[in-house]
Amino acid sequence: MKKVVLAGNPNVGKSVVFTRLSGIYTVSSNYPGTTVEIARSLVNRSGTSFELIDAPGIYALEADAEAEKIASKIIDQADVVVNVVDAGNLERNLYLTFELLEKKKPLVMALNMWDEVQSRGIRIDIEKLSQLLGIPVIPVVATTGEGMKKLVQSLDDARVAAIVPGSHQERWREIGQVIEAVQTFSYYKPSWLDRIKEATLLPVSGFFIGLGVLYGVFWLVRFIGEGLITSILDPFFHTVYFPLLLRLDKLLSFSPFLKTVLIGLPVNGTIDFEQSLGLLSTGVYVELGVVLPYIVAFYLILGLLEDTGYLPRLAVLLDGFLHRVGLHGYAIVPTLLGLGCNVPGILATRVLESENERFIVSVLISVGIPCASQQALIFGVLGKYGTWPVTLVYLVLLLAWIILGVILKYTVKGYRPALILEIPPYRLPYWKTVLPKLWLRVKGFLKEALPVVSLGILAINLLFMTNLFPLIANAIGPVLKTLLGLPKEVSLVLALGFLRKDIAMGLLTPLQLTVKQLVISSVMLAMFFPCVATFMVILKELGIKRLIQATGIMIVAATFTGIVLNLVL
Amino acid sequence: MIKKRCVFHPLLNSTFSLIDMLPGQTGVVVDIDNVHGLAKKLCVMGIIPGKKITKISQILAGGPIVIRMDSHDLALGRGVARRIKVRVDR
Repeated sequence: MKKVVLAGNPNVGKSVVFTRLSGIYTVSSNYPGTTVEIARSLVNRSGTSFELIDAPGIYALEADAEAEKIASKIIDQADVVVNVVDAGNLERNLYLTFELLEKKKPLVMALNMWDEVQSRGIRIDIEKLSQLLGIPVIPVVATTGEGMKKLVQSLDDARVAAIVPGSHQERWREIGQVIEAVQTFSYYKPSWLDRIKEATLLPVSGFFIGLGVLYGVFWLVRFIGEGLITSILDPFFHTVYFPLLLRLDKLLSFSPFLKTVLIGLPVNGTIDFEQSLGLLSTGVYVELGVVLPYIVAFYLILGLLEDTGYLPRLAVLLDGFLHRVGLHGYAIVPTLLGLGCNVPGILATRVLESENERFIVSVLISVGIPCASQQALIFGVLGKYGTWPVTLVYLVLLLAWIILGVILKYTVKGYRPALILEIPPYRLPYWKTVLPKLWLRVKGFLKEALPVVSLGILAINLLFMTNLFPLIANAIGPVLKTLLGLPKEVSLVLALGFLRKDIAMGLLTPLQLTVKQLVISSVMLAMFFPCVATFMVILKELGIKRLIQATGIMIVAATFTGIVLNLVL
Repeated sequence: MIKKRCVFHPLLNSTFSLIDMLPGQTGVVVDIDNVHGLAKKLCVMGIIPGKKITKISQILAGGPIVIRMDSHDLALGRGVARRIKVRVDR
């Protein structure tokens, strides 16, 4: 079957063109051995069928980053290449076009965002452009679907242009000549909207707008996530799923072992979704009933932020601050996600360029960023003592995050790429691209996280059956007493925290601890171990060596913080 | 008006790095220090000697420099911005 590859710069609406052209069978998968995602689809349109492949967005073919290498390989296998170009930024886009021409593959240019160009007072002579480049040029508006049919028809007219390979300078000179011949500007007066847009990138106003947006994101994610839980998921689990489990419970009475593994131990004579620890009870509930709603909410908001073009601006605004802890501006995305649930936070470290940075951010998230359930328990246990104990826990976590970040910055050596980031113009998000993207991401999360988390819950469950946990608890009990001033019962709670932090916190309440002990326990629970789900995701994403390092750092950091708190409070 | 940093002020010195350029000023790229293949990376983005760019903003806390060229915005880390030399036209 004919292979058609979409190639173009980042932020030119390539994925929108892909969504517009693609058929029902779209698969998105990592390119073998990499974290670069490639979408493929079988397309059957107006009598022609072909395989459509979305190459990663790139500025040039010859650069040495992973995305460029992969894009180059995919283009080499193509029968026809569609060069998606942002018509509003023709000059810069043409650099890649010239490189594609040199590849000697049949080429078609899709001149995207044609509507935007006209409203900005830019005129492009399409016929002349097509003639100068020697390939068909089709103006399209991917968001509305305008020109898509013509683009598919033009695939048969794709041509190999005659072009002489040249150096960078020669190429830019040729591009300059093409631009001179085809593009004219008419005067365009900036509107008040343009001034607001610009304010989001100015040092002071941009900073405050950024804070406002961050707060809004945080609030919206909780609002949507909690809304999904109370209106859809909780009713479903309690009225539909619970009776099903009870029936299964009866059916399994022939094998106590199987029953414990699948449904878990009864709590107060019945199945408890949070404490039974069975694969089908706690396993399913925690992942689908607690974590999933926040993931859906976050990916929706993140998708909207990406599509409006605000995300790169936020990354730019925070870059300076995050540099102090050895990170780039984009590290704000996984960190924010981590505030909902650490699992998607660590999965989202894939947006970062270097493996070192992914490691640092993952460690920082699991140590200093309390997930929604950790925050719930901090409020639940300390809320009744007023504002300051809760505030204190948050401040300690923030401080630990900063200090650990600075330490890691100087100890984890590695390549830190220079920041060169394109800031796309603001655009209205388009639901036909927002929703499929949300679906792809949620599907990806389910596919990747469900199996590992289930495996982790199974392992913990088996450990409980062998009484290993009380043994561990007894062993570290004396250490807790002398160093942290906590009773030895807390060690069991800390061990339990490995599974679910919120359950563990609930167990603190009957222990009659002082406020100081509660603050120390809360901080320890938040910093000490990640929950089993986070643990498994770090293992899967960064490997066993990094997991051991991360765990070591967490234990040391948590213990150290606990000791300091015990001394100063 | 004459302060310490006026050593780099465009009134006295017309060629300086992107960092010392003032927000709102427009200039022409004259030279790029080519370390770690930087010139090539910038070249594919269209930043080459002779290109006209406007500095839009300098983000707080040692953040990036935002420039505009051909009506599009780019953010450059300080390490990158320091290596781009610009001649300001008055």
